[in-house]
Amino acid sequence: MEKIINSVNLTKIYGEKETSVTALDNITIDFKENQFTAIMGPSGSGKSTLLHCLAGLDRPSSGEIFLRDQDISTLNDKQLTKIRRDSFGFVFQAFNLIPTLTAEENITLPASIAGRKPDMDWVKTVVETVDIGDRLTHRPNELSGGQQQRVAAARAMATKPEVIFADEPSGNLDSKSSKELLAFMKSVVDELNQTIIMVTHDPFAASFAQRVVMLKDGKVASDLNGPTQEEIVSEVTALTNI
Amino acid sequence: MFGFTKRPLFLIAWKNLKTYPVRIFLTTSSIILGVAVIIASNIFSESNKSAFDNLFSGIYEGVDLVVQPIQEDFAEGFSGDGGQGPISFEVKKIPDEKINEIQNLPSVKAAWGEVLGFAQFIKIVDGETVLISNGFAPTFGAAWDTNSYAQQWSLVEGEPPTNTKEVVMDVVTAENHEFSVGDRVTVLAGATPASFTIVGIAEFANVGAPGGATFALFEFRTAQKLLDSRGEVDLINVVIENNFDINDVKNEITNLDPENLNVINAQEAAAEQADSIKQGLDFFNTILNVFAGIAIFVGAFIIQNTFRILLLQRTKELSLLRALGTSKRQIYRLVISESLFMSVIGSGLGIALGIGLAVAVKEGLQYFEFGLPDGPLVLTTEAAITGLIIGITVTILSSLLPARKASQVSPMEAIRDSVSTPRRKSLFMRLVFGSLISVAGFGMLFGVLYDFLDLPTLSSLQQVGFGAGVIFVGISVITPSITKPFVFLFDKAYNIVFGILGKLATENSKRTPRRTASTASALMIGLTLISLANVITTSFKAQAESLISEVILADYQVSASNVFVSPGIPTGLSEELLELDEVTKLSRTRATVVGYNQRPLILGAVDETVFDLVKTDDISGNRNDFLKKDAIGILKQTAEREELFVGDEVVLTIPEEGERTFTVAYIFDWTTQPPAEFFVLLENNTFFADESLDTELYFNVNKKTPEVEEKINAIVDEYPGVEVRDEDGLVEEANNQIQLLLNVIYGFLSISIFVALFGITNTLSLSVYERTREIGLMRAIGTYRKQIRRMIFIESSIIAIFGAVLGTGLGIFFAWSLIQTLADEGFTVFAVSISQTALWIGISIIAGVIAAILPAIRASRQNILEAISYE
Ligand SMILES: Nc1ncnc2c1ncn2[C@@H]1O[C@H](COP(=O)(O)OP(=O)(O)OP(=O)(O)O)[C@@H](O)[C@H]1O
Ligand SMILES: [Mg+2]
Repeated sequence: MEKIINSVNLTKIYGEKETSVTALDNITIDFKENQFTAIMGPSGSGKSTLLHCLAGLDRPSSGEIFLRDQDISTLNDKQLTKIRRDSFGFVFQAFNLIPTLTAEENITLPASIAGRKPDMDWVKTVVETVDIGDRLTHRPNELSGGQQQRVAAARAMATKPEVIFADEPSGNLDSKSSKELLAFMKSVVDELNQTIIMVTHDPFAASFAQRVVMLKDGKVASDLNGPTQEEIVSEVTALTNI
Repeated sequence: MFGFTKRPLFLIAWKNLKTYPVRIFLTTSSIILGVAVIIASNIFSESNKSAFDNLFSGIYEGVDLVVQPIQEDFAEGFSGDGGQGPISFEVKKIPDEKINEIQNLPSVKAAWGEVLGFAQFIKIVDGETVLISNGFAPTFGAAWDTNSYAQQWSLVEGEPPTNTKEVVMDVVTAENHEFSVGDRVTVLAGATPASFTIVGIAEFANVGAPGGATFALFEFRTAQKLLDSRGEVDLINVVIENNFDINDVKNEITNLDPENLNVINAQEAAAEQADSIKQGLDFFNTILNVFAGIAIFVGAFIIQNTFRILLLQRTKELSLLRALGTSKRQIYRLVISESLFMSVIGSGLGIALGIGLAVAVKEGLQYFEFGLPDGPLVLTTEAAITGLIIGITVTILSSLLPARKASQVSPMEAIRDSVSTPRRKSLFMRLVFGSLISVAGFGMLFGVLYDFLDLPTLSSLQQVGFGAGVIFVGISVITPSITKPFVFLFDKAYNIVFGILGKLATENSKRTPRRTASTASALMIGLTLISLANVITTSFKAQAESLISEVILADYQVSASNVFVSPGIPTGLSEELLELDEVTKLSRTRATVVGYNQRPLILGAVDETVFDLVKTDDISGNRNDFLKKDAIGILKQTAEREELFVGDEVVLTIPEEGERTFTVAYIFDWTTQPPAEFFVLLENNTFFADESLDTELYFNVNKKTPEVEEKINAIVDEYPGVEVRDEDGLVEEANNQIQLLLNVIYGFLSISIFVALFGITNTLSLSVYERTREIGLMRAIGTYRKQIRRMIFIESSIIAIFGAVLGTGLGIFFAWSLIQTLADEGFTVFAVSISQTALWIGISIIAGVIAAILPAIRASRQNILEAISYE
């Protein structure tokens, strides 16, 4: 498998001098194409920060980020915005949808913004995969939390992005909805050849991934390939107890 | 300054304001503008009043008594009529000998005669003669007072005039038109211009030049000759000896010739004359105050909106205070004390800006030579205090509702995450209620137009105005409920033109219909008034145009350009014109004042051709009889008033001629402004032959070509003060006057648009604030900053179009109703200028986009991570 996105000596420091916090400490890591990766770690370990930097939502203090060997850490706001629009998809923990647009309009929003006609065959496939076909004309406030997250997932996929970033996508869902969403995400990687990088602190969620990266104090603490849920739990326990 | 333990909330309020200067600016902007307009209009009218005070006290400076001739009833009756045409008539004056008689009284220290009449300077610019005047201010000629007690004029430069070829010019005219001592200048007095040398530049008492008037000051005898006062003066100024009582002297002088002399106390006269003019100015002041009221009214809308916005933004802070145990009452007081601080600052700044505005308006008017009296700007304490009180009261009143709402914020709000939009009452009740009000208004308005309802005590015009006001209120109540359907109207178009951004913008306007509506309402007020003024004037113009082309049949009309300076057209002009082969038909009109039934009346004399050149309608009798000797024609209105019929005999007292008897032969309607009430044929009445002036000429040419026009102009140019105009010229002149008025109204009304802009800015700021997450999300998934800005601009344009279209619609409708009501007064034309209407809607949209610049920039700079992070 090809690496699709990677960081080199990525460091992120928040704040000035005395009060500064090192959120990411010299991280060098590769992510493979067509893989479902989970990023885990205790609260404050730098998971979200890593995701934001990789996704071009935040700028590293030092180090580089490459998207298919293109250095995206030096791009200006406009170029970064274009990359987010055309090459990335996003699922956040909450506030994923524009309340005034219908589910369908939300799904095709990135294409609309780009002024392109969405690839309707693909959109149909995606919509079928996340199983929200009967809810397309509804507004977000008429959808359940789980449905909203699935619409968000569909939007993230609708432009056939290089990478989909998800930050605690199931964090607000009950276990049933959570399981459904994660299953869909997995099937997207398996069946539609997408790449997903997902932040979570839930071992159950992480067990859907093919790879689990553990962070602690802004550093990669361990990198597990295809772990079971039990392995993940024990690794997390080990990390928190140190 | 504020003890923390004693008044913690006061301190918080103060700190808040100090920390957020932008917040202060946003809220106070509308107060500042409203107060500024009040102050400016007040300064403006006060300054004009004081200028007139100065003018009149200047005229009587150093004078105790003024001796005036008693006018015969004849002339007085006429001048009481207002003088409606270019008529020369005899005004009684005082013979020179009386000056000596008065001077010789032991109680009199000094007495000197005043000669005052109309005269006008003429400047040659690029070979063209230009009559010098400052807007509507009069142009005077007067005698230079040599008496040592005379204090009105003092020389700034040069010498007094000593012979018939010298003149002194007032300093303002000299400065404005770049004349200096030694220059030659032409002065038009009577109908004949003559050339003079400027020997001095003089300043009037204490005001430079009185009230924008221009003055040509001549040597005494020259002034008498030029100003039609040979051997006479217009009045005599008297300074009395110190040890005499003013009233005794007054009686003493009156007794010299009680039949002819009227003696008045100079200072009382000054006050009286100034007062009568000031009353006229009060009207102007009222109009300015109406505009100020509109600005304040719009301002109140906006202050309320802004407070709501700011408080919503601070929901968390306030609920934290509540959670910490602050009572609702205390929160309420906190907000009110903040508004108090703001109102004081705002009103103060408003006064300062008002002064600036007054200066700007004054300079502006001067630039356009729209002459109002010259003089210093005056800010009265009353005006300043009024401005402060209005500013503070309006602000505090407007903050009451938002403050109440803010005080009801729940302590839990601090812990909740989203900016919640509270549930509102249904818009349906608004629709019902607003419709009922509007229907009542329409009832009143159409009641007049279609004669089914006549409210007692109100005139039809008042009833229509009142109905319009009620409709306006009704529509304002309805607007929130029609926001959605309205925006729906251009949903599609916006989606097509702007794509998804258009869709997002229209959806946002629909999301908060009340806010969209109240913001648009502020704009609606201004646009209603603007389009009302616009349609009314457009209609008047169209009316004037059709009237002129209907009633003026002649190709050209010649008249005096300034009836005061040259009361007519030298008769030589008509002779010269008739010598042109191209002139086919020409009619002269002359006029003189005659007595009829002990009253003055204007008798006009015309040529037979007049009936082909001016539209006249037969009422009774016939034109051929009018041509007979001793026949007289009478205007329809005059015949009705005097109860005269064809065949009746009319006895007129003609100056220097005595009584003459005429027979009424023809009663007719003169469809333009009639030059007289009684008419005779010029060639039948020799006494008219002595008149040296025609009042008007009408003539036709065989072919209207530029060459002919050039020939005509060449002849007319020889006669300064005389103008020739064709139909287009007449229409243009009427239109210019209307347009000038309209521009002044536009100027004032644009202030209300300006105020409304701040409302749009505030509303959009709130909208942006509420959508922090949404905008952050859009940025995260790849929306350019530019696109975010565009979205805000589109949203702003929706608000602007909403307000502008509603306002324009209402304005046009009100104008239509008004014109329908005035149909009986002869207003029949209703015309809407599409270009002007489109222009103002365009201006509103552009203004809306300008108002959106700040919120748009703020939205596009939103920090993405802050917006999407979940805490
Ligand atoms: N904007 C910021 N300013 C200052 N410090 C920040 C900022 N954002 C994050 N941090 C700090 O950086 C560190 C990493 O934060 P991050 O949000 O990446 O943690 P996380 O692993 O996502 O934690 P959680 O599981 O709680 O979401 C933390 O110590 C946090 O306090
Ligand atoms: Mg996090």
